[in-house]
Amino acid sequence: MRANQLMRKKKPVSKVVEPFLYLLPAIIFFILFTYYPFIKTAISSLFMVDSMGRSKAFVGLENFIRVLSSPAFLISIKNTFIYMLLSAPVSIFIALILALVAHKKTRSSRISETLFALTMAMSMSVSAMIFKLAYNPTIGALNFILGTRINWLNSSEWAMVAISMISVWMGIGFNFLFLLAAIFGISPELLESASIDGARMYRKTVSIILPMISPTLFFLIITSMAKNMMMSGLVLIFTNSGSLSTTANVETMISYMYKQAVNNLNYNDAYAAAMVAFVLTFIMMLISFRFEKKGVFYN
Amino acid sequence: MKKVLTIAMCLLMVASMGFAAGSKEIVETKPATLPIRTVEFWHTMSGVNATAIDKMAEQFNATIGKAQGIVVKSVFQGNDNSEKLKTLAQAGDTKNFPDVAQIVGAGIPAAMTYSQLVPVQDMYDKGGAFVTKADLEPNMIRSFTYAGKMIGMPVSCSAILLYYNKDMFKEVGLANPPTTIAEMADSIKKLMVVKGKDVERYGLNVAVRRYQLSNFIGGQGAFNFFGDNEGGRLAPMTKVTFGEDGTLRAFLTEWEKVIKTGGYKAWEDDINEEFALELFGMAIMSTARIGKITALVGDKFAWGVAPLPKVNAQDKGGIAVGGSCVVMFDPDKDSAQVDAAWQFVQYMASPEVQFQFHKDTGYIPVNKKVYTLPGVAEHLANNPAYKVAIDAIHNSHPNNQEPFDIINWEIDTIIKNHMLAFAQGKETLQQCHDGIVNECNQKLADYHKANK
Repeated sequence: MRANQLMRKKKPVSKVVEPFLYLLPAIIFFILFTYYPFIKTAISSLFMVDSMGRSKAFVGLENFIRVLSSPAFLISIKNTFIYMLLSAPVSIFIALILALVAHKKTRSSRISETLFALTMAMSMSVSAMIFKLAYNPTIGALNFILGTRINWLNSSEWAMVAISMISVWMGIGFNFLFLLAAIFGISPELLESASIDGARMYRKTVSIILPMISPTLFFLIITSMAKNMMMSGLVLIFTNSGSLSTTANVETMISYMYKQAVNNLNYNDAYAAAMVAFVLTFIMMLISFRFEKKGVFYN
Repeated sequence: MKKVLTIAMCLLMVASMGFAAGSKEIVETKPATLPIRTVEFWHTMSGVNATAIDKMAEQFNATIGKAQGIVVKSVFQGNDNSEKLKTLAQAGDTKNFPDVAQIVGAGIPAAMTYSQLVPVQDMYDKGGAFVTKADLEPNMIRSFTYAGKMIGMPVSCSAILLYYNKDMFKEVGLANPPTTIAEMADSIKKLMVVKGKDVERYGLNVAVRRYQLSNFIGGQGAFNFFGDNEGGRLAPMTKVTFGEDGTLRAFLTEWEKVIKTGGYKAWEDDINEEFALELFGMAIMSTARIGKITALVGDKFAWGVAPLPKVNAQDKGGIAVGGSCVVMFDPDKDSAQVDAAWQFVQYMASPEVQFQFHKDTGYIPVNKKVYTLPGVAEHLANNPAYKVAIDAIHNSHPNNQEPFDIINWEIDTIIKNHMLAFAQGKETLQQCHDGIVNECNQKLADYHKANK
């Protein structure tokens, strides 16, 4: 007992500090690259900032009012939501079907698994260039195959769909790998006994596979949602190369922010846009965590 | 087995260290008599143009550089040099400024604010230049001059042109390329082919953006400056003037004729390839595309270039100089380093180098002495397209320039969005006119409010 008490007295300093030491590298990185820039952006968004990035005067919500009344930014919010709603769910859905097809081991499994996952290995800019050619309204492959004359990248109706399709295609590989692993993780006895009880593929999928892989599905949805709300890379590739006549159709919140800050040196609009993007993304995250409590089944 | 592998790895490591040391030795064995100065040069060119500009640096290193102990290190920095310089300036990182950087005219106002900038004029004032100001094309000097002071040295200059498919013109009975926008509309009507509801073949492809519009505005006379303070060349531009002086309305009125033909493609997809596939008869593009079009078309059909069609038949303004210049910096406060960079800057604008660069890339020579070189007359006779471009610049008033509008990207976005909406019938002439004028002025006012 006494020895124990002695130990307790000796422990504190080193033992209390130790876990924090382990955390230190991560904390330093978080503070330096996440929290500090975030707080600085939040504060700067309330100031008038000149093109050299110097805060001039406190202007309250003026920057937010200007940005939120700018049609270009409002369209970029709409575009971001279209992209988020289209790209991740469609990509996960296709990947799920592929995973369901691929989970039965056959002799060609290895080949099909590799082929399905292959899009992961494609660089975004290369994919964008391939799709750009395919999207050309007159000489592109897509209109030729579909027999349409859609002006994919330059029309207000189709541009965001076209951008989302690239992301769907690129996301399939990643989503496929996760879902396949999750399906493999379901105990074979469970599926077997369901088969013995006469359950068909559809019944097995809806009643066993989907609930069992719901944590993975939830993970994929959450990560892709956050990622897609913050998407800018694809848009910047298309718009900065000057290949689009009008960029308003494909601009997202972050590409808008990037252009205001980097091309136009207009930090007033950029900081405010960044904060709006953060708040909207945060709200989306809260909604999806709400869904987690109801819809996700943990074994 | 493990042991063998370990030994092999050790040997490899030692060997690679030897290579590293060896490569270092090469650098150190340069003639010890002259201290080697490295001049860092940031350029924005890619593809064929990058090869040409790297060649410039290599040849400088092999000739003047070798004699004077200067080594130019040519670095590709993407097409946004101005923004990269601004980032350095914001961070107060003066040390990492390059000695020489290629920027577009619109980047000049920002470059003026950096204390490290060495205006080319200052170097000329020192005397002893081997490429004098009198050698250079006056239009191109003005392109990179602010408040009467020459800031950058023109290097890669281009001109806007009308590209047309000669065979297609012949097929529909057109003898010559149009000289005015109204004539162009008539040509479109003849060139276009409609099948049912779809346009099978367009007459013209061009997206009107800041670049195209500033040419149409400036071309209307010698004193239509796009914005106040001579388009930002005397003092910062605070508003656009094409609304007040009526030049925008005059252009839009003529352009409406083009739109009404129904055979005008108002957005650009793969304009080079589509021109080569004869999907339209005319396109408005910079001289920089001549090489690409030549390669794509081959001998499939005859094509040519013509001066940009005028807004009104009597207009004499001509076209603006496009392209970029190089500016000099003194990051280390070392005048000997600046002198070394000045040697390279002059070299880039010297007659032989400019002729070679022109042949490699299609950019218009900035040095008038090029035309006295042997072989030039023959070269231009064989490449009539270049002759058209050079004549177009020579026939233009030096006042016709792209503006120093500071927020050029925002102005570009405003113009292209409204021009597209106008072409698609989503905006009337008046809406398009007012939209462009008001939004440009609003953005300029916002900028000046934050940057008093």
